[in-house]
Amino acid sequence: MSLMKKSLQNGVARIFALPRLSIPLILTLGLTLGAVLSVIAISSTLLYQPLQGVNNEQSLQTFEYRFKMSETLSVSYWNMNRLAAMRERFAEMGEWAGISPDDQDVTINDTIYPTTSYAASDNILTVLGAKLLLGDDVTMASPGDYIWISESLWQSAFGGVKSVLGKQLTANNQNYTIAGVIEDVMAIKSNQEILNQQVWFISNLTEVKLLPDNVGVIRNDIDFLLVRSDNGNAQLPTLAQTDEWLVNYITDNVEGDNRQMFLDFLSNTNKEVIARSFRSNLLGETEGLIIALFAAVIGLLLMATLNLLNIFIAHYQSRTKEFAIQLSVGASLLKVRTMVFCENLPSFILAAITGLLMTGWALKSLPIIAGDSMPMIDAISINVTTIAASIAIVLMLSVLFSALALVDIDKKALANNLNSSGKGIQAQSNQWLSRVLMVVQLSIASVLLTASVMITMQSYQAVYQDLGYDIGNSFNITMDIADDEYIAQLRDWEQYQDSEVKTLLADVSTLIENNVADSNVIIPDFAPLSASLQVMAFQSEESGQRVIYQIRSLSSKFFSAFNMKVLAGANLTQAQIDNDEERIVIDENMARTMFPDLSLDEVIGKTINFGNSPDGPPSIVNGIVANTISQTGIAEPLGLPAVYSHRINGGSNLQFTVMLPEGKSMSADMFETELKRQFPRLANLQVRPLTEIWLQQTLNQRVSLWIVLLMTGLTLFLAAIGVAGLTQMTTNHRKYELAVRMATGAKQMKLVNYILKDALWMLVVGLGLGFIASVFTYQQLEQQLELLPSFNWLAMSVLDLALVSIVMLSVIMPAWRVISADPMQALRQE
Amino acid sequence: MRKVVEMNNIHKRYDGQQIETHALQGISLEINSGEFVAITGPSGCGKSTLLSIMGLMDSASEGEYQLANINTAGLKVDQRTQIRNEHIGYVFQSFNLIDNLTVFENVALPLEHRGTSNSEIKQRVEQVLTQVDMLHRQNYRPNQLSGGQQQRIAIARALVGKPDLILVDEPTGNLDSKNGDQVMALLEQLNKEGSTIVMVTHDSRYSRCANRQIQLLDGRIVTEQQLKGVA
Ligand SMILES: Nc1ncnc2c1ncn2[C@@H]1O[C@H](COP(=O)(O)OP(=O)(O)OP(=O)(O)O)[C@@H](O)[C@H]1O
Ligand SMILES: [Mg+2]
Repeated sequence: MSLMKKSLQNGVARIFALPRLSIPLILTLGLTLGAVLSVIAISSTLLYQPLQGVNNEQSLQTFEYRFKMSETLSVSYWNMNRLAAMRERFAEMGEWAGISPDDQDVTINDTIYPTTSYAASDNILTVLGAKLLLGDDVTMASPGDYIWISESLWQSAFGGVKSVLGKQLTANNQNYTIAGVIEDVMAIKSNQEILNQQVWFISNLTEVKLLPDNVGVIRNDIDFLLVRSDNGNAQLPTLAQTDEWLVNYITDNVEGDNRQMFLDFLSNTNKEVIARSFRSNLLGETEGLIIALFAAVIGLLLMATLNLLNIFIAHYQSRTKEFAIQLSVGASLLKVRTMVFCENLPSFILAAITGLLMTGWALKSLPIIAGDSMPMIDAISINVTTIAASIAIVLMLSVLFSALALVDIDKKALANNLNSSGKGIQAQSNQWLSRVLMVVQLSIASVLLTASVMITMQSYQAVYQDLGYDIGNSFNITMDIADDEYIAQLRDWEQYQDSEVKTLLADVSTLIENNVADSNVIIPDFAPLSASLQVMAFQSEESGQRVIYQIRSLSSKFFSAFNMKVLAGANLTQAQIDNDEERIVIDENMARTMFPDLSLDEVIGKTINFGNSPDGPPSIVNGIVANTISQTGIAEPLGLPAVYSHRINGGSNLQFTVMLPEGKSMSADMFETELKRQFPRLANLQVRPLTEIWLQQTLNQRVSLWIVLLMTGLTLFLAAIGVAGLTQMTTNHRKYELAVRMATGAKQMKLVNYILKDALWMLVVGLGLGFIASVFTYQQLEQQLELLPSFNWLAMSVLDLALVSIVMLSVIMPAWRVISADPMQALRQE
Repeated sequence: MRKVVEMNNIHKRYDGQQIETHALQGISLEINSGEFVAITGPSGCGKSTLLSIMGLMDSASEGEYQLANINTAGLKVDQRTQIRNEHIGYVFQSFNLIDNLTVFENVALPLEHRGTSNSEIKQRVEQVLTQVDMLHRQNYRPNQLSGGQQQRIAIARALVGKPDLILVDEPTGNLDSKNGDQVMALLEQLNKEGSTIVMVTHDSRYSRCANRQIQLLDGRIVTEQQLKGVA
C-alpha cells in the first residue's frame, strides 16, 4: 500500500483515535467556517447576485432628499407630484422614476391574497428594465382605474391564463381592472418583506403634474427616486441645486401668505441629499452590517487558525522523531508534508462539512434572525461561491498546517532529532512559536470581545430602555375607512365638538366596550407605543425659533392608564375635553424647548400659538408629563418634543387603544360582525396586543443582541479550546519531564504551579498586547463603522478579567488531568 | 579500489547557548568499498557525531566530504535526502522505528520513498527480513518486539535499499551478549557479501570483527589499525 493511501487511512482513523486533535479541529474549524461561510453566502448574494426584476441595475442610481426632523429622524420629501417636477427640471441627467412598496391585501374571486403593492410612475418598467409579460404597457393614459399584477400573482390567482386581462380585483374596497402582467420585481428597498405576489398602481406623471400638491406635507410617500442614465454614473443634483428646485416648486404651487410660510419652514429645516448606486441603496444598513460581520468572522477564523496551529504544532512536536526517521530513510521534505497533508485531509474535510451544515442551518434561521426587512433574503443560500470558498479555505489551511509539520526539525542536523532519547524533545523545540501564536490569538480575542461587549450593551439598552410608561395589558385596534368620500367628510371638522369624526370615534368606542367584556377604551387613537409619528412645525412667537414637534392624542384617562408621570399641572378633565377647550398637555422636552428659563410649574398656564389657523386662539398648557419613547428598539430615541391634544384627527384609518384586566385577551371576532353591521363603511379590522408591537419594534436589536452574544460565546470558547488544547498537548508531551520531577519528589500541586507559571507570562503579554490592540483597533473601527458605540473601559476590563479566568482554567484543567493520571507510569513503561 | 568515503579535515562545532563544543577537530579519513571499519573511543569523543556527518544526518562545520564521489558541500536538504536514500543505510543506536507502522512497512520505507513498485518492494523486503531472520514477525509492530529483534529490523531497513555504505551506531549497546553476538554475526555476514560497513562501538570484542579500527579521542583520530585484509 502506498504511503499516501496509508496516510489518508491514518487520517480517517485518527478522527476517532486521537480526539484530542480531531475534536478541537472539527469543532473549532466547523463552527468558525460556519460563521465565515454564512457571511460569504450572504454577502456574495447581496453584493453580486443579479437583481430579480431590475435588469438595468448598471445604469441606475437612486436619489434621496430628506428633511432631518431630529438627529435620528429624517423624512423623504418625494411624492409623485414632486417627482414629476424633478423629472422635468433635471431631465438632462437621465430618466427619473419613482416606486414605493407597501403591504396590500387584494381580493380576487372572494379569495384574499396578501401582496406587495407598488405605487410607481408610468416610466417605471423602462427605467428598472422590468419586463411586461402581457397586456397594456403602464404608459397608458389615465391608468387610475387599472392595476397590473405580477407573474406570481397571475399564476396563483388566475392559473396563468391569457384571459386575465380585463378581469377585476378589489383592493381597499375599490375595484380595479387588470391591464397587464409584469414579471416579479423583488429587488426594491423596503422595510417590509417583498412578496412575489404583487400589484402595481401606476401614476401617469404627465397627468399628476396637473394635480395640486400640498407642498408643506413631508411624509415619505416615495423613499427615493430612480435615475436611469447611460452609464449609471450621472452627476445628480447637489443639495444646493435641489434646494433651489424646492424654492421654485413652492413658488409655483402656493399663492399668498402660505407661500412665505412654507418657504420659511422648508428652508429653515436641515436637509440632505443622498445619491448612490441602486445596489447600495437596496442594501442600506445591511452593507455596514456585512462589513462588520466580515471583520468579526475573519477575526474568528484567524483565532481559530492560530488556535489549531498551536494544537497541531504541539502534535507535530510529539512526532518529530517519526518525521526525522522518514527524512533519514530518504523521504523528501515535500513528501513528508504531503503525507501529513493526506493525514490531515479527512479531519479537515469533516470540518468543512460541519461548516457547511452550520452554514445551512444559519442561513435557514436567517429570516428569523434578520427579520423580513433584509433585502433578497429568499435568494440567500449555499451557492457555488460558498462551496468554493469552503473548499479554498480548508485546502489553504490544510496546506498551511502540513507545511508546518516540519517546523521543529533541524533539517540540516537530523542527528539532533534522532539521537535524543525521545523523552526530552520539548527542551529544544520551537516553543516560542506556539507562544507567539497564543499571544496573537489572545489579542484578537480581546479585540473581538471588546467590540461585541460594546454592541451588546448598546443593544441591551435599546431593547430594555425605560420607555416612560407601562404597556399593561393593552391592545391596539385599527380599521380602515374604505371610501374617499367618507374620509373627506370626516376630515372636514370646523367645529370639532360636534364633528362627525368625534361622534364616530365615540360610537365605535362604545361598541367595543359593549361587545368585549371588561374592556376599557383608553383613547380612540394610538397608545404611547406606536410606529406612527405625526410631526408638525411652527414658529415660536417668543424666540422666533422654529420648533419641530410630534403631535399626540390624549384622553382623560390616558396618562393614568399608562402610568405616565405628570410632572406639573394636570391632565385635562373630561369636562374640559367635552367643552373642547383650547388646552393641551406637553412633555418636559417641549416645556424646556419653549420656555427654557421657566420652571415646569411656571410653564403651566402659559400659552403656545401653533399658528394652525391664522386667527385661532393659542393653546393653554394645562399639564406637563415626562418624556416618553414611542418607538423603541432604536439606539437613539427620536428626541422630538411632544404636544398632547384632545382633538383627534380622522384620517383614512382609525385607531383605538383598549385595556383589559390582567390575563384577559381580545380578538377581532368578538365585535367584527357588530362593527360591520353598524358601520359598513369601516373595513380591515385588526387587533394587536401592544406587547406584540413592542416585540416587533425591538426585533432587530434583540436579534443583534443574540448574534453578538453568540459571537462572544464563540470567541471565549475558541480562546478556551485553544489554551486548553495547547496546555493539554504540551503537558502531555512533557510527561517524561513531569514524571522525572515527580519521581524525584515534586508534589502534584507544585507541578501545576510550574506549568501555570509557564503559561502566565504568555497570558500577561497576550492580554497586555490585546488590551492595547483593542483600544487602537476599536478606535479605528469606530471611525469606519457607525454602528459601533463608543468605548467603555469598565466593560472592557470586566471582559478581560473573564478572559483571564478562562485562560487560567484552561491551563489548569488539562494540566491537572495529565498530572493526576500518574505520569510516572511513563517512566515504568520502558 | 573504489572510494566510498573521503573526508578531509572535518570539524564540527556545536554552538550551545553558553558553551561551544568542538566535537570534531580535523578528521581526515578514506573508506574503500567492501571495508568493515570500526570506530572506537571513550564516551563523548565524537563517534556518533562523525557517523552522523558521514551519513548526511548532520553537516560539518568545516572540511570536505565526498560520498561515493559526490561532493556533499552546499547540497540542498532534499538533495542530501536523496543521496541518503540511494547510498546510505543507517542503523541508529536507539533503533528509531516508527511505532505505528508494521515491521514490514518500517523496512519498506526507503524503497517507498524511492518509488519502487509494490511487487518489487514486497520481494525485496521479504528477502532482507529473511536475511535477518525476522520474516515471521513482519506484521508485528516495533513495540511488540524485543530490543534485539528491533535492532535486526533496523538493520534490515538499512539494507533494503542496497546502499553503498551501511552506518551502524552502537549496534550492540542495548543488547545482551547473546543478542549482540547475533547482530555482529549478521554484520560480518553482510560485509562478506560485499557491503561496506562503518560501525561505532566501544566494545573491543566487537571492534575486532572489523578489518580496520579507527580510534578517536577528543574529536581527533589517535590511531588507525588495519586488522585484516578486505574480503
Ligand atoms: N547537539 C549537540 N549540541 C552540543 N553538543 C553536542 C551535541 N551532540 C553532541 N555534542 C557534544 O559533542 C561531543 C561528542 O558527542 P558524541 O555524541 O559524538 O559522542 P560519542 O563519542 O558518540 O559518545 P558516546 O560513546 O557516549 O555515544 C560530546 O562532548 C557532546 O557533548
Ligand atoms: Mg554515541
